[in-house]
Amino acid sequence: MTFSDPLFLFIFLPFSLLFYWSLARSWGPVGGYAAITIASLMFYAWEGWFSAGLLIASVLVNLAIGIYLSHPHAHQRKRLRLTVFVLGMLYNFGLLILFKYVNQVWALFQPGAAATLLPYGIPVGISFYTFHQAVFLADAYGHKPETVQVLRAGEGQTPTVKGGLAYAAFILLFPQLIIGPISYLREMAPQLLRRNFGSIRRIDIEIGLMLLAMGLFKKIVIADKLALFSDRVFDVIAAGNTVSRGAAATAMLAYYFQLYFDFSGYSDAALGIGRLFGLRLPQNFDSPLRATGIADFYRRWHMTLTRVITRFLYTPIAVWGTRLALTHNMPRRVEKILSIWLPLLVNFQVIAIWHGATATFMLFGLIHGVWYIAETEIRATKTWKNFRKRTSNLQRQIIGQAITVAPLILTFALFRSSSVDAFGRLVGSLVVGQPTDIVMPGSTLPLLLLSIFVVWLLPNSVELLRRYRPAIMTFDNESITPGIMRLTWRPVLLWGVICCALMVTAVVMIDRKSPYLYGGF
Amino acid sequence: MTQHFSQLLFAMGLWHRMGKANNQNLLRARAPYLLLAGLPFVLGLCAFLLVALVDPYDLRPWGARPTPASFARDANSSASLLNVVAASDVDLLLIGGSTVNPIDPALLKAAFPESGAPFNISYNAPRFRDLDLVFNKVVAMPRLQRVIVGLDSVTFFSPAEQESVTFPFSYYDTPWYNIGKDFEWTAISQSARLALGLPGPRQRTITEIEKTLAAVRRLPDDAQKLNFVKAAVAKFDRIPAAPAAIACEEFTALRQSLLPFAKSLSQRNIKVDILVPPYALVFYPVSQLTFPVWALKYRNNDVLELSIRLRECAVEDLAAVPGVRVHAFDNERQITEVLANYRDPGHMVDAVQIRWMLDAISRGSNTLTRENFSAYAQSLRERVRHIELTENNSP
Repeated sequence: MTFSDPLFLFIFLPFSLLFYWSLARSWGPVGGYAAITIASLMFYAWEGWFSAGLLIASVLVNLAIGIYLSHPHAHQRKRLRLTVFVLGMLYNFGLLILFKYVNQVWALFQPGAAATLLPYGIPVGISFYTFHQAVFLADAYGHKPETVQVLRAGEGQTPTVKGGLAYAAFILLFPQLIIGPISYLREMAPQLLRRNFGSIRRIDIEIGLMLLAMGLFKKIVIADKLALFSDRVFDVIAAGNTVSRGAAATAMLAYYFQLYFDFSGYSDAALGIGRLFGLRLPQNFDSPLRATGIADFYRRWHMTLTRVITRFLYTPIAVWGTRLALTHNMPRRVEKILSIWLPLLVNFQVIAIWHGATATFMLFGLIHGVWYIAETEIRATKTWKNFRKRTSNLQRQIIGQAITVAPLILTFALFRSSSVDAFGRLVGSLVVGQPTDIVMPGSTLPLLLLSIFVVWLLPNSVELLRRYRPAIMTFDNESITPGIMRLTWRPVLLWGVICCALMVTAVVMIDRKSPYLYGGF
Repeated sequence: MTQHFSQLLFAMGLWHRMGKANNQNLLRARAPYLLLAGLPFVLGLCAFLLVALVDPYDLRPWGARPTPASFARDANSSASLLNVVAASDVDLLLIGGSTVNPIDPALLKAAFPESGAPFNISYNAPRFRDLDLVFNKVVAMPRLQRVIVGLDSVTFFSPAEQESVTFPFSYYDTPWYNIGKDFEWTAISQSARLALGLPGPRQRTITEIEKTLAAVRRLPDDAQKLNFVKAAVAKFDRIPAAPAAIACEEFTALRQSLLPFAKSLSQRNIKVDILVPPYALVFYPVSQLTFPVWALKYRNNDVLELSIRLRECAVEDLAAVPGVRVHAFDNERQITEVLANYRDPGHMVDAVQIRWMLDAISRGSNTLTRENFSAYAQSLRERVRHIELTENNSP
């Protein structure tokens, strides 16, 4: 079941909300946690019993480890506590590697083999819930007060059943279970521990419906319709052909917008559904296609993954590299390589492999890593500093966007390509195109124009609803929406008409139930 | 002009109000917001329940009992009617892909007047998996007298694990699990029609079908497609390739699906006509470019030789099955050499030629047999290998 599935929209969502409100009304927050847990398990069970069993086991194991790590007695036995923490991490990432990468790596060494090493597909959402739980264990080990507080359900000194239920509701929370956003238990704690958790608040419903309508519109009306052309071209290229220059360029641009609207549409819908349950989830996108450079891009694209990787990978490696260089009195250049370049390259390779163990993803990660390093170095030069002094913010923004957009389109195309060879043929088609029989649907060009308008001129969903704090802010980015276009949403008639129009258009266009692109990761 | 100007001013006013935090009057009213934002969900829920309860495609044990006549013919969604057709009185059924999509029941009726209830259940680009599912449902149809099956390249050359993107998902699931998978506009309107007891739509007459087909843009009128065809023909290898050395077992869909299906029908004395789609001669050079994966799958044989081998296997396999005939029209010059008959190299859309072809099937002519297959194959090879597009854009 996905958010754009009619069964989800018209049956599952309304009835799970009614279930949630009624249980919370009868039993307070405990009823709310229980309702979310049950509804989310039903939502996930749709993906198969094996996946559901794996998820339940994972939640129980992590909960048990988390309870131990945050128990006051555990602090007296530091070595055992560390061992349990490491074992917990190994369990989480072991499962991820086992189910996500073993078959992929096997396929790399056994090309063309029909059988896989493991008889299971990748359990849906495993990349996301693994990160949720790994962050939870790290916070529990670090004894972050908010995390511990949830396990104690806000009272007493020891973990409680109510706390365990709150944890299960947080991990299983279906709006974020399959494709994120990757949230921290400690940032959700104040909401989960609210005394009136589960009560119906009108503003939550108003905001939730608007975000959901925007998310579905992005996914069904824009992304899925752009896919009609981009999929065709990428399939033809994957089959060993070349296409015309126009088709190649249009398909690359179409995929650039398709991926953004697909994933950010999901994130908007997730924020909306979370808000219907009275929960504010972290922001995952902040107009990334308007980024003025690769560093800016990663502060705006899949922001919750960026912050997790930064916290748990980049920072520790950078600190280790700096210490190593300083301890051994290494030259400045080596210190820079160890403390900045190496962590960045590792960072981007991990992000790439997180998407899948394929050559295209790894090359994508390498290009973005090198690009990030080059940008960091350029920004540290005197020439750049002089340039900064001589130019206004707006000038730099326009120049930055103009420089960034083409490499992003190209690397997104690499991300989509079935192989590096196929990407080569696609780029080759841009240079020496061949006649093609691919017919562009009539909707593609108008949708590309609409995408350009939405991406570069309109405020993003969180910015539009900023007055009501629709999301937990992940990064503090400056707004780069043109002043005249900085609309403000309010729950009034006019926005009701717009919300209704977006939703109706999306529902009318539901035909094939296409999955979300990030559902495959 | 004044009207446009006032509309522009109105739009600018709305935009201005949307941007302002302190909206006035009606636009500021909060109550209607929730009503409007929630309306699509209420309507969606009603429509969803309507479709789930009426069950217009007869996917579940409950609901209405529609017949094929309850639906307007829609070439893109006729596969949704599989259950409806399987439980109906249809006695002549056409199964295939987009190559036979234009053949409406009225055309079938004209060519096979003895048929009381003909139907075309073709859908785009069938694959082994979904076609097998169709065969399994069709084989039990109570009043079936004749079945025509298209031998589409895309079906028989594609990997066995593929499935058609146009085949409804609903058929892959159990009746309970597939609730909601058939939710789309046709299902909603059809459910409303069935729930209200309204009569089914009038089926198209031959004149209407001919008019529709006449309006289809033909290959010579489409510069982009024509250029592609010319490039493909120019690239095509004129040197005859060796006949494809492929065992018939390798055509999985033929051996594991079509052959058992034909045998089962034959045992019930149901006539089976296998129709080799009347591709334009230029289809083969074009497919060599657009579907290299076919040739690759079968060890680099070219598409022409691959197609000939598939047909040879079909003839060999089905020769011993009583009541089964294989028809091919590749060597009918008035069909395959005239690009104006086609909307693209694989799809013939000329009503006159379609009717002529159906009459030929009805008469039992243009059949491929073990005896005439070599001559047929040799003639096709010669003509495809020596295509020269003239100024009239015909080979």
